[in-house]
Amino acid sequence: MIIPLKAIVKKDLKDRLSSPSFWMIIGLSSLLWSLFYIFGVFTYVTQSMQLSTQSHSVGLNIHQHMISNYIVVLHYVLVFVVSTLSIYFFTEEKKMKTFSLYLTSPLTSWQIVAAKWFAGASVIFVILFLSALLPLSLLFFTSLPAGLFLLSYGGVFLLLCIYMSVGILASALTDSTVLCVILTLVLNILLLLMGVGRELSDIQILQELFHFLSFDYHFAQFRKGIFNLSSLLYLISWSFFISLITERVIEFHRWR
Amino acid sequence: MIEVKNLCKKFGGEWALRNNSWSLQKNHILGLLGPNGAGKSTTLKLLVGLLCPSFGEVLIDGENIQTNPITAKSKMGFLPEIPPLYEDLKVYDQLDFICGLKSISPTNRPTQIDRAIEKLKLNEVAFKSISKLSKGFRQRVGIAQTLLGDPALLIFDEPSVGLDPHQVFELRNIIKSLKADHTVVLSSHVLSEVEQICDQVVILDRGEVKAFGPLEQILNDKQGVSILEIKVDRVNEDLLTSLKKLPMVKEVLFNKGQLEISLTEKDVKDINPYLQEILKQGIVVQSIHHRRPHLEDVFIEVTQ
Repeated sequence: MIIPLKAIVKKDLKDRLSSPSFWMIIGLSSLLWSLFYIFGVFTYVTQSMQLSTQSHSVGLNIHQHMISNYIVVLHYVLVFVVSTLSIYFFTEEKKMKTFSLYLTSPLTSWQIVAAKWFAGASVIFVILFLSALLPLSLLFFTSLPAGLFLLSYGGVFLLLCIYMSVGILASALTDSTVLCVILTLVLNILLLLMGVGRELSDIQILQELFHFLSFDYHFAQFRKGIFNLSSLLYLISWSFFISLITERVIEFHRWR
Repeated sequence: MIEVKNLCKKFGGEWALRNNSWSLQKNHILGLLGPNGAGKSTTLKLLVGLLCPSFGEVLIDGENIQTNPITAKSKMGFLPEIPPLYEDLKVYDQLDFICGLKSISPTNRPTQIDRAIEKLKLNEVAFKSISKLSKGFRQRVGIAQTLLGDPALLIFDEPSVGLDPHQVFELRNIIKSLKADHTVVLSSHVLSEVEQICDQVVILDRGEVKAFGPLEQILNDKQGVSILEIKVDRVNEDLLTSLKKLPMVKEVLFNKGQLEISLTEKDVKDINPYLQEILKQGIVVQSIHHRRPHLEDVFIEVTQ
């Protein structure tokens, strides 16, 4: 059970990290999130200086006023990055005719999906680590609330894992790389917009339902440093649910 | 080793395979033949579990590929028409990855990989990138990865397609040598290749098994034991009828200026009766050739 999983994760991770196109995508997106970060730092410093002129003021919370905003922006940037990387899961394999290796090996469809999921999660981990270097550099000047910081990053990790699961599903559905990216993006944007239902409905129960379903609500819990088990389970269950559909899609390949 | 029972596959409203049944004993090589669209690739995909049958079953060493796929798949290695290889990997790394997919523990991998490299004579390219390999070497790497985990059954789809004559010759010898430790099922368009390599043959046409059995038996059953080829300037209906009445004659065909008389005996000591019958009609005999029947003769007959 573990040996094939390890083999696939190791190979996929090695492939991504040695791929120039991967680093190009990461390079471009890091440019974007770095700009937002610098902008955030300037805003924070300006606001802090303004406040410091008022004698009885309390200092601004660095997490709330800077890092949390940076993580929100990072989350939106990485939705696109993760959607673009979706082609590497099955679409590339189908193009290279290596997909049959998985289907003819003594592996269950679940093992295949789980291996691809863990490989994707490892890549997300690497990306998030790189993105965390900027806020971590603040440690040279000030202290950071470690728990808050880790929980916020945990929240964005869980969300990105959902978007990646959508990517795995899309890549199992189509042989076209372009279609795969478009499908992943469209589905992920729909997931992001789930909370909009709250604004559209006048019925209170529906408003509360959409509020609970929206990723924003659960993400906000993590960013505020609230460890909410229901939020954790909710986000994990989305990844599981989408992976379940992917497993069915892979099984369906045999029943065509 | 492998048993196919009433295998049927329907795509949409069309039957790609109908009631195919055949089996193969251990340490034999079976050739799956058929014209384009006969159902060879569909059969192979069903054998390896890439497709599910509409009816019927496939048993690999007694294990049903549908109900017990993991055990059944662990007993086989499959090489599709295009070897599934990662261009950016080195040969050794590719084989190591396949070992992982087959749940071979890291401690056993070097032995397994080295043995496969040795068998397929891949030593000189073991640490080369796959993208730099010739088609012949790629095919060998493809076969090497099927050997990992010592599966009892090997399934090859058109293994010699696109290879030059030297590579084809080498590949045939490799496949023949695999018979000692494995059972092999291969599909091929090259009838001479199947004749040289295989012990058993399945001929498919429009999704149905038209002939199945040991090669010798198929040749004898369908074509007679030997064929007398006589090149003549012309023929007529009377000649064909009178030749059919002669002893030991199974069938008489006329094709491109050549009479083909299928005989029921291997050694024909006296060809005079056949010649006399031809000469009696005033027909000129240009050449005579006595040969064993070829698989091509059977193939054309059963797939017409």
